[in-house]
Amino acid sequence: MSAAEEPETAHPSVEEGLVERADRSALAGEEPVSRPVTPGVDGPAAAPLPAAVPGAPAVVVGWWDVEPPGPSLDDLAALTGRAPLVVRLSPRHVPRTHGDTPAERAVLAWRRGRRRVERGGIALSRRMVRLRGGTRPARLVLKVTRQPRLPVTDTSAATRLAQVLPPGPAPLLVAVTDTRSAAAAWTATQDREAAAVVLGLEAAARLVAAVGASDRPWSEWIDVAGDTDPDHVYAVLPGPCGEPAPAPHTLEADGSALALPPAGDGPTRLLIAPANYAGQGAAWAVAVQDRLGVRAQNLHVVRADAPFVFAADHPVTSSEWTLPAVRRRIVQDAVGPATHVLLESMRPIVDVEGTAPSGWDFAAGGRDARALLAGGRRLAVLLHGSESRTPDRHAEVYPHSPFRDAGDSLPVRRLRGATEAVHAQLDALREEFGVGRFVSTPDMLDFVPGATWLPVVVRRDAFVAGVPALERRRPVVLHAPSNPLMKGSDVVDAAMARLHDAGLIEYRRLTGVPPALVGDLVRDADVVVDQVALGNLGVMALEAMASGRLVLAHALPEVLARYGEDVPLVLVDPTTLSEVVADVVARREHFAQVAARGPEFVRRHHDGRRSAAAIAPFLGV
Amino acid sequence: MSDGASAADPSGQQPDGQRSDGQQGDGRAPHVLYVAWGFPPHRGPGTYRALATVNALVGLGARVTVITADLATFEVVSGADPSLLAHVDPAVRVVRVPFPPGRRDPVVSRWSRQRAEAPGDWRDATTARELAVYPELTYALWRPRLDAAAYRLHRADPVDLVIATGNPYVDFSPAFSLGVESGVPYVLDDRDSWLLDVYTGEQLDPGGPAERLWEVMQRRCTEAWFVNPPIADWYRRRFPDQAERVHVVENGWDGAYLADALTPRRPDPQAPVFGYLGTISGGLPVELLLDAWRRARPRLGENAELRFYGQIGHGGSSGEADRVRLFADHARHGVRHLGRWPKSEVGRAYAELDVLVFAKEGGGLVTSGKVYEYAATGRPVVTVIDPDHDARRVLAAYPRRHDPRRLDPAAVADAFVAAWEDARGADPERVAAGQAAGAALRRDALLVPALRRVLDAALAARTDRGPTSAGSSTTSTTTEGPSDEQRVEVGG
Repeated sequence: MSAAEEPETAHPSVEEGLVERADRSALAGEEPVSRPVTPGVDGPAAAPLPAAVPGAPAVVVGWWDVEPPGPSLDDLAALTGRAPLVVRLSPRHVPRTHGDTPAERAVLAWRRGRRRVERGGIALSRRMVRLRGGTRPARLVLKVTRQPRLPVTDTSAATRLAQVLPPGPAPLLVAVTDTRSAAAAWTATQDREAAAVVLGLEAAARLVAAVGASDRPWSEWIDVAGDTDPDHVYAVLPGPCGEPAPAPHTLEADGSALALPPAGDGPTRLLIAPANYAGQGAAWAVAVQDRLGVRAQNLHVVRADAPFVFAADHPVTSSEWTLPAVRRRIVQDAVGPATHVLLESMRPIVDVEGTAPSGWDFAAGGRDARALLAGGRRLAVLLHGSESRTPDRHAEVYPHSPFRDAGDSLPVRRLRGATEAVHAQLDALREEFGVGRFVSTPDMLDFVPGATWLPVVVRRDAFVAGVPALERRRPVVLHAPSNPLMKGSDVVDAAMARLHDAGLIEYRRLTGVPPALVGDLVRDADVVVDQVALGNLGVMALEAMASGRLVLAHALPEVLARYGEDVPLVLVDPTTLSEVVADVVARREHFAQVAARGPEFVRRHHDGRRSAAAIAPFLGV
Repeated sequence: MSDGASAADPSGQQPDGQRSDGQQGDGRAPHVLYVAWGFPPHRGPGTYRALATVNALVGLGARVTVITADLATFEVVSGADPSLLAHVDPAVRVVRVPFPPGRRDPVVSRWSRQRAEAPGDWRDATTARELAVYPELTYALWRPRLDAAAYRLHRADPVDLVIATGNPYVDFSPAFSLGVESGVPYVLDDRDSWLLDVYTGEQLDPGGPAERLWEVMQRRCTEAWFVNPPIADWYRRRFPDQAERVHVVENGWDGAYLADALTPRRPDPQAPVFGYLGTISGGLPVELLLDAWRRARPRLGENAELRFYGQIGHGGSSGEADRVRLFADHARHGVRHLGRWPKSEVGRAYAELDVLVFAKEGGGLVTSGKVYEYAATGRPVVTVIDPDHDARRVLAAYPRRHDPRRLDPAAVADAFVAAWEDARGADPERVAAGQAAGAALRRDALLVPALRRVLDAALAARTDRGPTSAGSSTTSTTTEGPSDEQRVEVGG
């Protein structure tokens, strides 16, 4: 019989057929009917399990045939502190059945009618939800689905069993399921107050043991397990080896709002936070400390799925940052000592109100800025580019702006909204408090009027020389865009592919390469095409220059003039790129000399001295 | 020092009887960061190498900080053996960084709606997200937290050397990051071979992201460790310009768990007891062993017993139930399956056996950790392994090895009988000869020289950098404020 031919009434019969086989004495709460399992004879030995859950009654329901590896009934008895109440629902070896009993026929029916069963599973799950509503709470039910093809029927049985248990406190229903019935089980437990669904009996045993060993309410324990336990998250800085760790930070009962301590009267101390894009926050802090003798630290709230975490004084992931305990630690360790704060990208540092949906909420950044000012700290805002480069303004100024053709697309609308939000905060802070601004690249001076250019710092190891530039027969041209749309990568790819196919160059396009690997690849290239449309000179272009590569990039002459000297790069735009690269190949000697000027140029402007000088007035030194 | 650590010997006592003060160079004890997702209470097989390493480092005078996963990961997600915690030397500082359980999360209640309702789509999206972070599924998303924690630690207490052990290979990330960002030397301890399928000998994803990352990591490392010479040779051939960094650090056996096994056993002539210890994985030739056993048992006596200690597979395979039934069907032939066996009890298991049966799938690239324990006991060992299996190298000098002529039931049965004759007739000298051969394979004898070597290198590098620049080639210090606020290198 095909699935389509299966009568719609098949599913109820599954349920009824199995429940009929349940041991009535067990349902009535009499002696358990579990068969003792002797390790090594009847099944595997007991798996080592944690300590018992004191006083917790257990009911085990389910298919209990031949023992696969894992906890046995004896384990469960030990786990729960008393013999489990067992309801055996199946004959042995059901998976190999040929349909000799009603239950076995039901199994076969289920296999043929999975979709229908899934629907039934959702209905049964809803019953579990109603059960959890509180009229007949179960204390502890371990629903055992040892045969993974029988989730729904056991759900039904567990539900029924729970209904006959006496009322009691702390209802906890642990259901064991398989991935196929996960959707139904998930639906049943989304309020997480009285039920958990766990994949596999062994995981259920571990969960029950862990909950039993904890003082935490079990539902809360589910929430924090493994991912967000505030006692674990920032417990990274205990004392010296061998000494006990300090007491864990605990959440306060009054929610997650934070109060910033007032600035101290001590010597000037700078905090740069929280973006640290391309490691620049940390690099500026070093520059300030080394060049100005001012204590400086940086905080880095890095995306939880970032491909690389740059070094920082206070690095935390964005998921860690969402925890009040972590942000409180940031207040204590990073914000508290600071007299001056360089707020990066208008992002929140600690989210003083505890309401930010993420660490990229600019309104929360504005609130933090006000709180820092209210605490007596000097504040300036540092803009890196993408958060404040308004697309409409860029389209006006740059003839090949990627925003010209993007029109009113969703990404542009989003970017417009974000940059306008940043500028609104910037304007308000300037009007209300006279808060100054810094920008990290000279092109940004056209987007943030009145800002000070704080040059990026190029790391020392970027100055390691690569292969001699432009000596190969086919020069290697490399393009490694962080954001292909913004860099005009389509144009670059097409133009370079033509030259590659013509045998003029070897084109290498990097995609998804971790930053740590990029340096070596850059040093092995002759020419680096940074971008052809955006008009900025970012960290990667400067690092390429520092290693003696010839850099091709788009920029406005008036922007480059802000360097005060000739910049050793070759200007390109989408219309000239092919021609320029061909010229580079034709006049290698000339362009090799341009590339050779790169390291000294970068050293003059981007070794930290100019950066420190730019920030000195803000620090009052 | 815990008893376990003492028995593992690295109680601080070196093989030559000296305890290193570890305070060379500028006089400070070296601070070693050890990165191991699989660390107690994790109960997986890799845990014991990690445990022995950190205890040995303490014995060598190092200050040791371990970065590992949070307790909840082991308690709920992967499985824990809390008793292992007692074996960690109390001088070791353990930093637990929460591990996002992700696709391994067994608690359905905290899954996302997408995962519950469209598991295939969720899996694909998760795969893409993971691979964007690190070329290792399941563990990749731990990387940012891991790196951040390592930076925080290094800032608070500068690290002189990082030793990272994989798998999972995400453990290598903080070693590499601290190396790149702060100039800290590091050792990559590859227990399983990231790039190589040791069972087939085939390279995994040649030219793929894992290989590219490994190549860069290896180029910067102090040493790269592998568990046997064949794997190490493969890496030397694959990366010839890095061959000098490649070293073999074999697993060896842990004295902490084998005290009972070292006591000679007097066999009961009427009741020989044979035994296999180890995971009963899908590739294990169980059918061959049982066939051979049925043939041999009439020659061994009606009370002869063959015990299997170890869990069947790793859960979730339909073939596992078949194995259970197979064992049950052979109960009348004296076969007993005792299930997963705690490491703390392996000594007791060996102590009850007259003859050990060493079987393991794989070939020239596979050694197994168990073979060292087998050799430690000094008992007769029947080897049911391929002719080129690397475990043969380990047992080459073992005098009580019994190799079947062929890997067929009759020949294995003959080896069973021969091994029993060996067990029954052995005099104390023969037992002692077996144990003496095994003694050379003790873990600390294999591990400590390697640790001493990399510690010395790290201390020399620290001396080169100067006393105020631990862990950083561009460290900046200040004249004000406490010393624990030394800046770490960030470039520029």
